[in-house]
Amino acid sequence: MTPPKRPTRRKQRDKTDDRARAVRRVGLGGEPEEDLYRRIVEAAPGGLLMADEAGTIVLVNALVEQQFGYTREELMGQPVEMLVPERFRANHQGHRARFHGAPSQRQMGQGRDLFGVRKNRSEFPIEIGLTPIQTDKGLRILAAIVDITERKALERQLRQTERLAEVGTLAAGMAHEIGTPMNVILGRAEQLMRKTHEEVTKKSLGVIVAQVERITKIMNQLLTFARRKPSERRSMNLGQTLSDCLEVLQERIRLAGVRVESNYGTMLPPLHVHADRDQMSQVFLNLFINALHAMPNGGTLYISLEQVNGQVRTVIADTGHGIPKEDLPRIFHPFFTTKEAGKGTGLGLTVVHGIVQEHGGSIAVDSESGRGTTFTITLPAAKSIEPIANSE
Amino acid sequence: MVEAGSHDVLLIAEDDKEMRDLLCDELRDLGCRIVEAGDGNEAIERARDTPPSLILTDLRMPGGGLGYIGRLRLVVPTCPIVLMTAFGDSSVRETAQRFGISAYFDKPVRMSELKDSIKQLLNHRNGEADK
Repeated sequence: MTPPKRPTRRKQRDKTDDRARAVRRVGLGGEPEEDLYRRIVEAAPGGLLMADEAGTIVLVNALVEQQFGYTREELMGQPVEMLVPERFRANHQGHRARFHGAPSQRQMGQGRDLFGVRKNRSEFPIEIGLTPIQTDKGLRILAAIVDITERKALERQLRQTERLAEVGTLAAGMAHEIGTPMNVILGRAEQLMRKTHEEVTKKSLGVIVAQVERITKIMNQLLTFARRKPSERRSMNLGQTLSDCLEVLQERIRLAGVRVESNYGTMLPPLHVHADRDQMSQVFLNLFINALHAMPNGGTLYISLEQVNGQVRTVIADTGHGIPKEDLPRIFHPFFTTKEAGKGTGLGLTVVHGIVQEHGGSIAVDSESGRGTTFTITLPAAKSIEPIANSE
Repeated sequence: MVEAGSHDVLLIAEDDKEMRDLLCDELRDLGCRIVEAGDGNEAIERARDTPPSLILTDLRMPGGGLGYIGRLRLVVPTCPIVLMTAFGDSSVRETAQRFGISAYFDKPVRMSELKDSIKQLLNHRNGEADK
C-alpha cells in the first residue's frame, strides 16, 4: 500500500482558488452571503415565508408561490392574512399578536387543522413551523409551510380501509350468529304458508319470507366483500370486460329503454390493465346496475376508455336522476344507499371502491341532481400484454 | 326402487333447539324415524348406537367443526351426510367434499330444497341397497 501523497502547493492553491470562485459565483449581482441565503431559502423542501411585526410579508420562496398560486410580486408587502381562509382571518390576527408577545420556535396551531387559501379561493390543509428571528429591523417571523393534502388523503384512505376491514370481520361473525335464527323464521313462515288457505295470512307470510331473503342478500354481499380473495391479476383487455358486462345486462338495458354509447369498440390497440378480471367485472356490473336504477324512464349510458400518462381511465356516465350533493361524500361508505328501502344493500359502491383501491387505482364521482352521474375509474395500465389475456 | 320410509333412520344434529324442532317438524313427513342430537359428541354417540340411514348436521355447534365431521366419518364411513352451516365459505365446501359430504346447504336454507335433497339421497341409498 502506498502512503497517501501530500497535496502539492500548486494543488492547494488551486483549491483555494476554487473556493474563492465559488463564493464569487454565489455573489453574482449582490452580496455573496445574502445571495447564498437566498439560494438556501429557494432550495428549502417546504414553503418559506417571512413576515414582519405588522404581519406584512417580507420574503417568500418559489414554493410558497406554487402552493398559493400567487407570484412573488403579488405577495410581497401584503398582509399574511391574505393566505388564511376568510373564516379564520380575525382569529389569526389575535394569534399573531400573542405570538409576538412571547415569540418562540414552535408548530403553529397545534391540535388544530390549519388551512391555506390559494389565489383561486380553493383551500388546502397545511402545517406551519414558526421561528422568530430578531433582526436589526425588528422581529421577523419565519413560517415554514408544508402542504399536507396528500398526507391527509392517505390518512383518510387508511381510516376507510381499516373501517372496512372491521366491517368485514364483524359481518363474518354476525353471519354465523344470525343464519340459524333467520332459518327458523324462514322455515316456520313457509310451513304456515303451506297450511293456511287464508289469502291475507298467506300474503303476510310471503312478506316475511321475502324479508328474510332480503337480509340473506345483504349478508351474502357483505360476506363476499369480507371474504374477498386476494385478486388474481393479469393483463386484461378492459374494453372486452366492459362489453361482456353489458352483454350480461343486455335485456335489462333494453327493457329500461337505455341507449349505450361507447368509444372503445374499435379502439386499437385495446387498452390493458393488470387486474383481476372477475373483480373488474363486479365493479362494472355494480356501476351499470346503479346507472340503470338511476334511469327508470330511459336515458343514455356513456362508457369511454382512454389512456392518460400510463393510466387507463374508464368513464361510466348516466343521464339519470343524479346524486344529491350532500350525499356524494358518503356514497362509498358501507350501508349508505339512496335507493328506496329494499332496493339496495348500500354495499355495491363500497365493494367497487374496495376493489379499485386494491388494484392501486382510484374512483371519482361527479353528479348533478336531475342531470346524471359520472364515475371515473383510473387504473395503472398493464406494462406488458400477456398473449393469454385475450383468449379468456 | 324403495321409497324413503319408516325403516330409515334420520339423525338430526343441531344445537339450536328452535332450528332442530323446525327440521324435525319438516322432515317427519318423510316417514323416517328421527333421532336427535344437540351437539357433535352426542351425534357421534347416537350414530354409534343407532346406525343412521342419513345424517343431517350443523357444522358450527359445540363438539362440531370439521374435526367432528372427520370423527363422524370414522363411525359411519358410508352414511350420506348432509351438512348445513350459517353463511359458510368456500373453504367449508372444499373440506366438506374431502370428507365425502353428500350435500351442503348454507343457512338460511329453503326447507323444500333440503327435503328434496334428503329424499333423493335416501331413495338413492335404498335403491343401491336393493340391488
